[in-house]
Order: sequence, then C-alpha cells, then structure tokens
Amino acid sequence: MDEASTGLYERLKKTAAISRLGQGMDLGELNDYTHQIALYLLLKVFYREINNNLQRTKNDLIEMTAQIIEEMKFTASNEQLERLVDGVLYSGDPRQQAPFSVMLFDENLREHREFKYRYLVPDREASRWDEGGSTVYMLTETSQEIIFLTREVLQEFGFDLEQFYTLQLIKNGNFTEAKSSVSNLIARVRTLIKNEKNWREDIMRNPGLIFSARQERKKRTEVEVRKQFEDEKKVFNDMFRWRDRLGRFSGEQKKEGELLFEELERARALHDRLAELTISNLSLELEIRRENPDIFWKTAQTSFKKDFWQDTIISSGLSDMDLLTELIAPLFSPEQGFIFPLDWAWSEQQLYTYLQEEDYEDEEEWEEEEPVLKELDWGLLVELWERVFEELLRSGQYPLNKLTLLAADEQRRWLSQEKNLELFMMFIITEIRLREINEEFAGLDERLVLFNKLLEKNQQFKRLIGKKMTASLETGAEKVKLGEEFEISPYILYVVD
Amino acid sequence: MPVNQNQIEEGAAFFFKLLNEQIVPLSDPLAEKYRSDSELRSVVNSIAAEGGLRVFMTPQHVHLLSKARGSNFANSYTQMKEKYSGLKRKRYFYLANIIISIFLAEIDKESHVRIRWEEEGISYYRLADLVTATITAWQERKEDDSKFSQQWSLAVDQIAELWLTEFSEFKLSQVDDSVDVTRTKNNRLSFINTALKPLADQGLIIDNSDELKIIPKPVLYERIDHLYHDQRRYKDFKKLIEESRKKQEEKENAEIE
Repeated sequence: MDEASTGLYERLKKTAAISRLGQGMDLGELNDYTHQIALYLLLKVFYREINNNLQRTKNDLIEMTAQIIEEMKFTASNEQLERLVDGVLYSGDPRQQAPFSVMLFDENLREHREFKYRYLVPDREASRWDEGGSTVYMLTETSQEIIFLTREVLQEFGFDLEQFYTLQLIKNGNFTEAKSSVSNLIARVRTLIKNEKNWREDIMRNPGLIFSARQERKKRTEVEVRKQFEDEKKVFNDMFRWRDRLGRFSGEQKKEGELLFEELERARALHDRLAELTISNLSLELEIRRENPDIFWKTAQTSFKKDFWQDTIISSGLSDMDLLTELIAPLFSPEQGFIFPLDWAWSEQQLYTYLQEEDYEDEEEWEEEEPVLKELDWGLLVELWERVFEELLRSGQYPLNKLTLLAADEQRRWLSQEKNLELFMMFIITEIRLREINEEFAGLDERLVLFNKLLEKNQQFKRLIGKKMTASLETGAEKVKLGEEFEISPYILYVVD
Repeated sequence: MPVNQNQIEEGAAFFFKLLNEQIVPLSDPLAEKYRSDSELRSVVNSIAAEGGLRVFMTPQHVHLLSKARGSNFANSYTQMKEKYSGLKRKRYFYLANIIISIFLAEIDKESHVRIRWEEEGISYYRLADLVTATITAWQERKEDDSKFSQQWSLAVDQIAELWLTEFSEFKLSQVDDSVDVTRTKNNRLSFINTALKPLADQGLIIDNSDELKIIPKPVLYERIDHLYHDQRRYKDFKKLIEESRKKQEEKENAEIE
C-alpha cells in the first residue's frame, strides 16, 4: 500500500459527509442553497449544545431553519422548511427515517464498503422521553467533525468557546477527546498570533487600515481586551484545577490526563503570548492615531487606478505621450551612482569617515591620523591622461571601464593622484570645449590645464582643439572600481565637433 | 527656532544615507531622529529640495524621491528614458510607460481590500493581455472620438505597431524550452521585463522571471499611496494635461491655417 492511500477510507468518510450534506432533496429554487442552509443549521444546533440549551427538538430545528432562510433573504413554505430539516435528519424518504449511506473505497480491503451515518441523532439524556418530552437532537461525531474541519478553515468560533468546550470535556473525564480539543486550541491561538502579527505589519504599512478595517476587526477598547484575556485566563485556571483530581483516576486514563495537562500548559503559554501581542498592537494603534492624525482626515482620496489611469488617461488620452513621464517619474528614487555632483561626492567621502570613526569609537587604540596631503604631480597626471587622449584621438571615445583592465601597478599610479577622480567627474558632469590657452591662472578649469599640458607634450593633440568633450552612461555596464576610494559610474567619454 | 550645528551634521548625515540607500527603515537611529526632531527634518528636507528631490515618511520607512522634473539626479527610470531617446526609439519608451502604468493600475487597490503583499502578484501573461486590450481599445476609440488629440493618436499607432505587429508573443529559451524573458528580445513578455526594470532595480517589485510573475513590494504601495492617493497631485496633473492640450490645439490650429 502506498502512502497516498493511507487513511483514504477515513478521509472519504469525512468528505462524503460534507459533500452530501443537504443534498438530494427537491426544494425548487432553493436547491442550490440547501447545503449552506444545512451547514448553518448544524452550527446553530452545535452552539446550543455546548451552551447546554435544550431547545433542539424538531420544532426548534424548523424554527432555526426559518431564521436562516430569512437571514439569507429567501422565502420558504412550511413544507419546504420541514423537508429541509428532514433532509438533514434522514436520507431519502423521510418516512423511512433511514440513515445516510454511501459506498466508499477501503484501501485495506481493496474494495468498496458501505458507510452509514447521520448528522443528527437524539440526545437521549436531554430528551426526557420518560416525562413525555419530545426528542432533543444533537450532533453525531460525523457532523461534529464537519464543524471542526470547517472551523479550522473558517475560524468558525472564538477562542473562548473552544476553551469552554475543552473544559466540558475535561469535566467529563474525557481526556482523550479533550486532548484533541486542546490541539485545536493551540492551532487557534497560533492563528490568532499570526493574525496579530499580520495586523501589526498591515497598520505599520498602511495606517489608514485602522480606520477602514474597523468593521472587520472588532473595535475594542484596551479595557475590554484586557478583561477578555483575564476571563480566558480564568478558564485555563479552571481547567488546571482538574489536574489535582488526576490522582483519582487510574492507569491509562491518568496517563492521558497527564499528557493533556502538558498540552494545556503549552496552550496557556501561547495564550499569554497572544495577550501580550494584542495589547501592544492596541497601543501601537493609539500611537499611530496620535502621531498621524492626518490619515483620518483624508476623505477625498484619489487613486492611481481610477482617477489617474481609468478616468483620465484611458478615457480621453493625453495631448502628449510625454506627460506619462510626469506621472511615473516621481515614483523613483535618485540613484547616487549615476551622476555625481562634485561637492556632494566629497560630502559622501566625509560621511564615510564620520561613520567609520563611530565604528571604532570604543577601541582604545584608535588614534586619529592626519590624512596625508598628497602632492599634485602634474607630470604623472599628464603621463596617465595621455593614454586617454590618445584613445579619444583614435576612436573618438574612451569608456571608463577600460581603467579596470589596466595592470595592478598602473591602477595604483592612477589612484595615487586624488585629482584623477575629480577630473573624471568634471568631464562627466559638464561638457567642455577643448582650447589652447596662453597662460594659467587661478580658477582656470583644471581640465584645460591638463589639456594644455598634454598639448605641450604631444603636438598631435592639437587636432582636438575646438572639439567638445562630453560623456554618456554605458547602459548595463558594471561600475568602474579601482581600489577602495575610486568608484564611478560606467561612463564613456566622447569628443564631438 | 534656530538649528544647531549638531542638527545640521546629523541632518546632512541622514540625507547622504538616504541618497545611498533610497529607503531607510524608521528603526534606523538617524531616521528616528528625523521623525522626532522637526528642525532636523527641515534641514534634511531643504537639502533634498536643493537637489530637486523630496523626502517622505511612512510609519515604516523614510523615502527619498526624485521630482518629475528639475531633479539633478538620474535613476533607473531616467536611464531608460535616455536609452530610448532617439526619435525612432521613443515608442519603446512610450510603450514601457504604458506597461508601467497598467501594472500600477492593476495593483492599486483600496488599502482595505489589499491582501498580503506577497499574494498580490500579477502574471506576465495577464499584464500582456491588459496591454493588448488597452492599446486595441484606444485604436478603436480614436476612429470615432475627436477627444483624442492628434498627437496622442499618432503615438498610440506607433505603439500598437510595435506591440501588436513587430513583437512576437514570447520566445523560448535556447537551453530548455522555457519562456525566456530576460535573454530574448523583441517579444511582448521580454519587453514587460524590460519595461518594469526600473521598478525592479529600485527594489519596488520582485520580478520573478522564472514563474513569470511580478510581485509588488510594500514600499511600492507606500509610494503609490503617497503619490497618487492625493487630491492635490491629481488636480496638478489635470492642470498639466489641460495646459498641454491647449498648447497642442493652438499648434494644430496654426498648422491648419
């Protein structure tokens, strides 16, 4: 037998009971909805059961069904109501009062076998037939399972009811059953913890939710929430009181009981964690309300989807496609890598050292070093830049990432002159027309100083006089990086006429 | 109130941090100072304004944004614009803009109906269908609707030509027969990948090219909420459209005369 078929029969019993609930009767226009009505009816009965409400006779069932029909905004005749209830009580012709029956594949026998079940059976204790009472119905294990299964999915009822249910089971000494109920309790509290965590993230992300999701989320004050947690704590304490009585039980049952209380301890710890989270979320809501009151004033909100896109652009177009840029561009952050305004680039360097200093603050050996002022070596600069200009002369362009191809000691030479990074950035940021100058003076563009020194050295550069030097970004290329301090976007320097 | 030296230093430090990281979580100590110290905040905001930038704050992050125009800074979007700046290439840029807009419209939901962000993804195929539907609808509309300006109609035609005719639907990878949107070109799905690249580069979306799915991140919602859920900005945009429309009409009239 392979793994997939393990427990198939047991699973089929549950899915069959769910899928056939409320099916197979002819109720005209209500036919499509009988399943929903039947499930709702089971839930109503279940709630009455755990609340020790004895109003679960057939007449009560019919009355509850009438309420459901009304709530769902349908209408139904008395006959239809009665047929519905009968359809939940019995299979086929109600007069036969037959149980439901279905052939299911048993993976162990390797054949189909009949599974018989009911959704509701008489609650013998509550019916008091001896005193002439009419039959009080209760859920069978099968229909309880339907409710438990769907509860997991829909979180059908609250933590408090689950707790109450567990307590009842413990009182009856039904520890095995109670243990599975505690598992549900744990699953439930975990879900609630997850919900609280999600809610926290949601309101941080979108404070408006505090306002808009108010209806979905029960709006409770901190006092109410605290009281609820106190109540729940009390139920836990009630349950634990039964621990002392475990001594009265013997053997297997005592062992079950001990296991149960271990599980319950886990549930209690999780519950405390939930309480903590919920309370802290409430104070977060309060804080957000206090600090961002504006989010609650904004009533006339627009949206991109409706106002900008559908009602404006889709419906009447734009006079000019370029207007789309106006719409979209503000979404983007500036990226530092692409254009380096000179002085800001230096500020960044300063910030860098400032942060570094902070990192080392605690270390005693840290000594402030005076940065060594490097001498400007024009000889070296001219030698280095000569290659660049030769390339410009030859092919009209010089991609900066060529620098990374240089041999290591050549790169070191480039790095030895801080001026180099500055010169590159000047070429990138603004265009310059190359020209011959007669004399150097303070404030003269250093690029021209460089060019004229190059002219002195190599006559062929005269061909570049009068040309404009500019730069453009090489898309898709890696940043140019030499050593630690030289980092620049992958620009290409050009000469144009 | 006068701003002290310390506030200037910290303000500048925070500005450059923003410039470096674009989005800084409020849990960052400097961001926390920005939030709580209004003078420091005005220092940072003024530095940003000088650079044609804006700073805005949500309960979780501080963002640094470009302005539509007049910003000294480039970014992945301007880079794309640059790439398609030639007259012939411009329709690529327009198409990319339309794809970005349709994507934004598709994910822009009222905050209370949004599910958790990791579940809000949109498939490439759905987006492609929406683009096709939008372009086709515009083409049909312009036949009998004088409201569309001449300029707009021309641009729509160019885009339609590109999207509907020149692009194939998708291309398969040469390695394993899967749909490859990152290494193929001139097809609808790969162009979606290209068009949304500026958003992906800025960490605003997760572009899963294997599963052909695009997932908006919470920071993108923060920006959408801030930028487009704002009455004033909407009015400004309408005004801009009006002005541009008037200019366009004058130009068209002048041509007729």
